[in-house]
Amino acid sequence: VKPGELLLYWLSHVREGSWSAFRRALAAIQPEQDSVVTITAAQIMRRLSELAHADFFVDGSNRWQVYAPALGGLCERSAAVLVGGRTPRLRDAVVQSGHKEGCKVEVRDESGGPDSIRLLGPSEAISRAASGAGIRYIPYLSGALAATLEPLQSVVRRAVSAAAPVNWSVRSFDLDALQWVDRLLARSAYEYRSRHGEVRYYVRGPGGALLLLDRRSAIYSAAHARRVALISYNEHTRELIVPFNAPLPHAIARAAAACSGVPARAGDNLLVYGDVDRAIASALMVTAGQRPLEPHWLA
Amino acid sequence: MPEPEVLDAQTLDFAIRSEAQRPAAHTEIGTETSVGETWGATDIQPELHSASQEQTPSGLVAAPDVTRRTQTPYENPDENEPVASGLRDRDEAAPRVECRTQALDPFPATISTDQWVAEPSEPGCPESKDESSWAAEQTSGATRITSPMPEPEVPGEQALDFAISSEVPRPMEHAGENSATSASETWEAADSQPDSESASQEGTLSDATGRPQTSSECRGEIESLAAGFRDHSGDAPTQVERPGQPLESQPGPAAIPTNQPSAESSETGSPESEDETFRAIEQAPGTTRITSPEIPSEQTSDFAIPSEAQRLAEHTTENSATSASEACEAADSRPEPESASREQTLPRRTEAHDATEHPQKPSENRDESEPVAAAASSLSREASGIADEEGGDRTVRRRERAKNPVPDSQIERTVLRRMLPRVSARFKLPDSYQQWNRAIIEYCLLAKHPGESRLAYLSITPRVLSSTFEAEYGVLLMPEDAATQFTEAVSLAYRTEVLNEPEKLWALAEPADDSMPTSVALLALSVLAAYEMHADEDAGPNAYYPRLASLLGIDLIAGHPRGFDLRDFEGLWLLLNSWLETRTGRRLALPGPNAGLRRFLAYPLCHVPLRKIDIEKLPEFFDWAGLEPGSKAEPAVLGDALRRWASGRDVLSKAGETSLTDERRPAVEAQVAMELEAWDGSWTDRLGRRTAAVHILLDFVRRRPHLYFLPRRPLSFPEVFDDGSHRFQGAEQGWYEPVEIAPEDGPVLQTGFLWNSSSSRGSFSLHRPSTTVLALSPDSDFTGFLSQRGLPLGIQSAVLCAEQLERTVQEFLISITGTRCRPLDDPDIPRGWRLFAGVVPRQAPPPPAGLDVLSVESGATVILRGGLRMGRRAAWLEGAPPTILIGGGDDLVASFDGEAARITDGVLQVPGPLRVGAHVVEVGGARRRFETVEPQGEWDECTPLVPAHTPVGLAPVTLPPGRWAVIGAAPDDVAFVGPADDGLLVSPPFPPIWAVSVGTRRGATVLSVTDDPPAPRSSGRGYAQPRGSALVWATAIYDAHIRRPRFGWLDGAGSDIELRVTWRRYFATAKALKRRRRRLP
Repeated sequence: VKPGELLLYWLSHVREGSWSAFRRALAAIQPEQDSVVTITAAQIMRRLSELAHADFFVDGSNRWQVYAPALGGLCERSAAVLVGGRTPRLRDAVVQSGHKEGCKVEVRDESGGPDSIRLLGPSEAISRAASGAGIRYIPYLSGALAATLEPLQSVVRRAVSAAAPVNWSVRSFDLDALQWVDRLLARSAYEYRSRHGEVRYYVRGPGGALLLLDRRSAIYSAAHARRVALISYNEHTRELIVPFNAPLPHAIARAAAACSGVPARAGDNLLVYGDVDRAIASALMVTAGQRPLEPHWLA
Repeated sequence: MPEPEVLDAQTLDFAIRSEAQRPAAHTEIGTETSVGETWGATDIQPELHSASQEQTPSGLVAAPDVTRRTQTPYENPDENEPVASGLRDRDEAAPRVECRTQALDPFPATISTDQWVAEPSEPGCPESKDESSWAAEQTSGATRITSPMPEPEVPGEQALDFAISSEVPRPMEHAGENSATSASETWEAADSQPDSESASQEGTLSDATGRPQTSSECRGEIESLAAGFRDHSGDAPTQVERPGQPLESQPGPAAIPTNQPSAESSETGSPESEDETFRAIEQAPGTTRITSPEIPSEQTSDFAIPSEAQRLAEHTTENSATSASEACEAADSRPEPESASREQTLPRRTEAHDATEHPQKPSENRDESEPVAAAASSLSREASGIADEEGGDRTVRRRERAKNPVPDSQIERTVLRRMLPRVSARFKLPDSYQQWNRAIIEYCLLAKHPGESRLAYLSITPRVLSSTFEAEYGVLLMPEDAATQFTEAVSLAYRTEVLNEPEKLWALAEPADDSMPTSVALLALSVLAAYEMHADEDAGPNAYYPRLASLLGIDLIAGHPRGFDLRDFEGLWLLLNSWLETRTGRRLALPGPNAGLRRFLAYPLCHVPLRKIDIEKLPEFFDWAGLEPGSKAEPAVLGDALRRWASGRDVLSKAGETSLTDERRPAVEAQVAMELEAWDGSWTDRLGRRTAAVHILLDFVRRRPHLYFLPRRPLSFPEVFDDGSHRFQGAEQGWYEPVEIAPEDGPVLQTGFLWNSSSSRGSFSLHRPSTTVLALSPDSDFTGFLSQRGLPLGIQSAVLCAEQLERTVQEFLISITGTRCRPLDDPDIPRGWRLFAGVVPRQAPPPPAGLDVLSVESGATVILRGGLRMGRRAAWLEGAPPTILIGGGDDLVASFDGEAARITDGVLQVPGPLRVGAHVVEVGGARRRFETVEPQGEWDECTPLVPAHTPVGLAPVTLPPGRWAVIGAAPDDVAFVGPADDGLLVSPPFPPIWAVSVGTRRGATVLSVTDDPPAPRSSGRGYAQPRGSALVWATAIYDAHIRRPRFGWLDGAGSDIELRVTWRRYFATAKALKRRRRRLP
């Protein structure tokens, strides 16, 4: 069994835990190569989160939780991917059920993460396969996920206002250079770090108050405040593109990845989500505080 | 905070020296020491010890008149004040105890002070009160105890002749001439069964109605245990009938089938008094003759009366001087025959245990059990002393038949030969009981704890129970909750299963399906009851059995829990000891041969020499000594430190302090070591502030060392601890997330700290004592290295030390590793500290002063490290097992699942992939059990990815900034959203077709939300009778249309013409609706 698959089995069995436990588990399955890990905890976390296996930093805490397993329909309506937790038994059940219903079953080896298990076939067949395996089928998963997203403005509204920590080092996110800089910028996202390594992220809210947010939301909140476009969409390639240093908030990224069942592809300081429907892209942009895509006007 | 004088190792060392300079004896000579606080005899006045020794230099009693003053065990100083006063009074009155030894055989008479007293009941118990009052009333007269048996029947035995002066005839005189009946039986039964004496003398018994019953009739009612006990009484040839093996004929005792229920073990009085009531009593006016029946040739059976209630009634009403509880006990324990038969009487274990008869019994665990045995002996001496006191000026004359020593092992064999219980088909212990039983077996018995190289202690306390449950099931319970759940589980099993079995308590001798003993949980509860002595204000501290009954949730009958046969209780202990020895080679701590009096009580007591009031103070001691929670520490070191800490502080009870100085000390040390191992680092200080300990964790990330504060998180602590400067989030149960130690934290680490946080839930603190050196070794719970006490031999560890100790530590590390050791040079290491990594101890020399924490643990150690562990359980995911680190000497022999396994570089080589199931690693006496499990998915417990009510199959509608009306195909489908500056996400309750924005002036926008907008519905109620929302729908379309809107596709890209055509249909429908509305009345 591959390490990534083992890790998902463990997550599924334990169901929830802390970030440190996750890191320990990752260390346990990492092959020891000169004590240098082959994949960082952040990388595997992003993969597991975007593929809708688990949710990390639940409600701003340091905890993670595993989702219930489901077959999630992709934007390509005749395909679905196994999301959520799983065990060897469930995996076998899905594969067998898929075969039984006449679906084509693809198991893709994803380096460093769990395998990608896809069922290709009519939506009805996929639905029956899910039923046969005892799990839920969610057609058009990205749409369903997008419908449950909380807009960034709402997140900011309910953010906790707090004073800036004293004697903590501070960095700001430069929205022009799209990177963190060691100085205090106006109307930006701020990273405060204690000498013990604790990190908090803030943005300026209404009235200048500092609002405590997670790192990704803080960046997009700052971008929203300054009307900076961070997300772009290529209608021809159906790709949603974001800066590498400004990844989408976790839930939004999950909805974006659910379009293709593949996590974002990194390259050229960008993260690219493929096979994203325009409607989904527009919805995700609005959710992230960006302006939606312009309609197609009739001449 | 710790005492200032012990803030560092140097001052600690000074404290040690100071302690050594102190006078050793801190027991006050001649003072009235609390007798109840000790169950040993350590605080018996030295002169009494010496007196006793003089009187019985070799276990013989030569002096006919003995005035002794001893103390009784199990007593609370306060509550026993009357007793103590009584002792003083009687001491002054100098009670006469006359003891004569009459040699009736060639062997010298041997009798110890343990034996020749009329043994008292347990003070505080009903029977003891009765006896005390009885004793107090005796101002004249004599109770003469003699053997009614034909004396020289068995060669090599001594006849014991008691003569107890008593002015007031004891109630046992009711027995009249029933000399063949045991004393207690006589006391209990003679008055109601006056004819039984003659019958028994003739070898017959009487049933409840007085019908004479022959010994052969009774024989069928005696179980195999009886034969077993006869087996070890004296040096007579063992005549035990085993199943399928006929009993050899022998002169004297009748052959008793071993497969028949025994009446031998009937209780005569309290567990203590039964010992004293073994002797048949020959009564004459003013004199009670008690004859010891514990001679094979003179065996007399203790028989119970059929109706215990009747017995109780008789004794309480007619025989006021006789302990009712004694009577009921006897009746309760054995419901079969009532009178004794000489042939059928079986010698009791007490006789076999009588110390003076065989003061140096061969014992397989002589070396380690010696203290326990000695403690029990002192216990017995104390009890004997009380007996003397209670006897007032009675004169006791005892003539003992010569007996040869009976080894303990023989007694145990006897018990082991006892038939397994005949349990009913429906007998099934509750799951909760079985869970606890299993957990305690694994944690307390099979796993070796410090100081348990050859003896195992069942040191059950709430904290140990909590740790036990967590270790086995990965669930962390508050100690109090653990104790409650455990008690409820055992109580349920006892009430619903055990009591319904014909053999009651002995039913627990039935092993489980996996051959594990099923009695452990119940025995553990008996220890817990002992642990709680001294703490219960309602019941007297000595009333052990009421506590036990309370825990069991049943009523008390005759001073004992209902159905609680003491001999069965003892049998279960011995059976467990035998099982443990067979399984692990270690023996269970048992009272030893000299327990005699109160020997049943001594079984649980010897496992918890420190009681609740002292155990609760141990966290303070652990903190004072800088002991890391959960550490395994050398018990002797703990004992020394505890004594230093306790001396002069007046924190431990007198009994607790005394136990550190007498023969109970090994048991105390083992108990403290186990408490430390189970300690989660929390305690409540005097201000009511809850405090938890902070560990230090070392981990390497990309070859660079990272040190962390790793606080414990007891269950009562908040999810987030924040004192303003330090914020810790809860991690796995029992811990906070580690927080990295900054370089500038060096001084704080050295001086220690107390971080406080208050909330509505109370005040909480995180605390770490001052430290100058830290041993960091692998742990099963964490990657990296956790601060613990000691360095395991042969396992890679690390050492963090203060700068000033660098050279000393370096030299020591070189001496233990045999290699060059240099501190790491890393900027992240706290200032003023040095980190030595890769320390693999190869030798175990004693550490220099101040570096005790670096002592090398040479004993075998098993550490399960890495792998994918399933929470806090000792269970790992199939396919991701732990690495099994083995610490200890090079010559260790290891086994895995019972098969020999190789150790390479400190790692156990496991053959092949591990199958799903339990696995056991055993190395040099150390044992670790773990499981590999198949992952299980409890999907109902998982968070759904998409809430169930979420509409699926559709994407939300995203609208540009502005105010919008979202319109569906039906005239009722309309919703308004906005205005918004950044776009809108809309999920209307109907399939949206259009999004219409109408400005305040000219112009409008119409967007097709779908790629293929359907035609409007022109039917239905909204269309036929347009009102309300239908009119709104129509108005929104109409208003947009008349403003010559701008059209567009929101997302899709359909036919422009079709879009316009379809829109016109909507407009036509809207217009028609408006007209229709105008026509309506």
